[in-house]
Amino acid sequence: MKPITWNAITDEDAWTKTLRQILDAAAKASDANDDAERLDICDVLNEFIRRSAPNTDRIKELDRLAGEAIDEMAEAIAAAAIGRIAQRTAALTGLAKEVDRVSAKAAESAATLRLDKFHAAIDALTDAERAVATLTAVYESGTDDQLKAQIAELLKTIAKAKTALEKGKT
Amino acid sequence: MRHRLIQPSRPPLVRGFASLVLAFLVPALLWGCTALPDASPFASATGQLAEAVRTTGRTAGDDLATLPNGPAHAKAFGDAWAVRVATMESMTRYADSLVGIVDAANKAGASAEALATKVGNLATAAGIIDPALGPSVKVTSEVAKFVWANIALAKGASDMQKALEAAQPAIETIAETIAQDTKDIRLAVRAAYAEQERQLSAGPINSVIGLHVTTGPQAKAAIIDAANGPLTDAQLKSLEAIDKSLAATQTEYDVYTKQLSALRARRVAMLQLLGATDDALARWGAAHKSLLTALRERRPVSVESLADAVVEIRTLIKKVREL
Repeated sequence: MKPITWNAITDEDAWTKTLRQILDAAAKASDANDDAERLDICDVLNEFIRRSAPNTDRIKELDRLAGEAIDEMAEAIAAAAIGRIAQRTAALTGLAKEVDRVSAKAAESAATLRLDKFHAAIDALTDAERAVATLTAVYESGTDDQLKAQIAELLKTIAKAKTALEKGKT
Repeated sequence: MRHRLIQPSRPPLVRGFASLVLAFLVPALLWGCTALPDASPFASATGQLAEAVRTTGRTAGDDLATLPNGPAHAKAFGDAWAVRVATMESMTRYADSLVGIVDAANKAGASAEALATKVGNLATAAGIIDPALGPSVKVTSEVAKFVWANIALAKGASDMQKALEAAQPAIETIAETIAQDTKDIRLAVRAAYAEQERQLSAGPINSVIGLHVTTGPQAKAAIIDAANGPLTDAQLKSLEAIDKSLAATQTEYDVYTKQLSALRARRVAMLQLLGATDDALARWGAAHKSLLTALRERRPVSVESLADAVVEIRTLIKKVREL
């Protein structure tokens, strides 16, 4: 709509005429579904409410009408915009899971490149080898209880090594 | 006591390693020694975008709550936006996984060398290898490092390309959806700010505003315009009376103008953040495509424009939070 020369408005009739022009422009913008224009008109209506004075009963009534127009337009525009955002949610549903699947595969790839399974298997075998060496020492100079404990420890490390080796197969 | 833990002929571990070598030896020879493209700028940009999406949602939700049906709008928007936030979080994890592949591929040689050294140490401790063969164990480690480093580049490139190709449709959907969302948020937020300005100017303060903006200045202008030469005592007294009314309400008016300025500043910051998010989204989508093309064509990828977008977003998020 055309810019308003606010300083030229000096009486109630002029304020009434100005508000009518603004509301006509708002109706036109609503018919054209032009939300950007309607929001520009909301700004003009806010300026009207600020500037219209003195606050006689008639001016107060004009401000009330201007305020109602802002409320209606703001509510309609926001409701429609939020409705459109909500409708688009369907396109995104399931995407997060799909992307997480890709990430999981990529993480597996990185683990393979780092040779994680092989490192884990060799580490487990190394632990088992150490347990055997310790068992040998305990066998040669330890008590029966110590021997029993070390055999148990060796069995644990062998089981761990077996698991690591089986994982390394896959 | 010597013991044998590793069977001499082709244990499963060695078979697994051998099949990896064979699967990627030829591609390694074809791929050559081209390093994988750096995915960390893309990961950094993804993190910043995810933060922008979170901040936008939080701020817009607060603004929408000021509308006539505020609580209902804020809830509907919040529910829809939570899905965007979750999607961007999964994108952040995805971007980090790409960095993981590049990092693992770059360090693969060292990993292979470390593994070969461990195997050598174990074999020595188990009595399989004579300790005097130390130098040849070292040579084996270096060979393993060289071979695996090259194989890892090929496998890393192949796996990274597969990941990028798998994720590309999701990237396009997200970029397109959020780009349309920001257009709608812009409208909804402008509507919310129009409503907030209306509420700010309503009530008793409205007379004060009208006095300072319209009737006071118009009355003073009328007195000055009516003067033929210097002002009369009566005219001066009238001007004084107007100034006195303005002074009596100056504090209230100053509070109002400060609140109005702050409101408008928040609106500007929010709209700027939406604009920057739009721009960064477009560049982010393009950066992902560019990573994919760089891998397919084996050339470097340019990331300057994405880095610029990230810096801008970071600054605007900070600004919106401070307001």
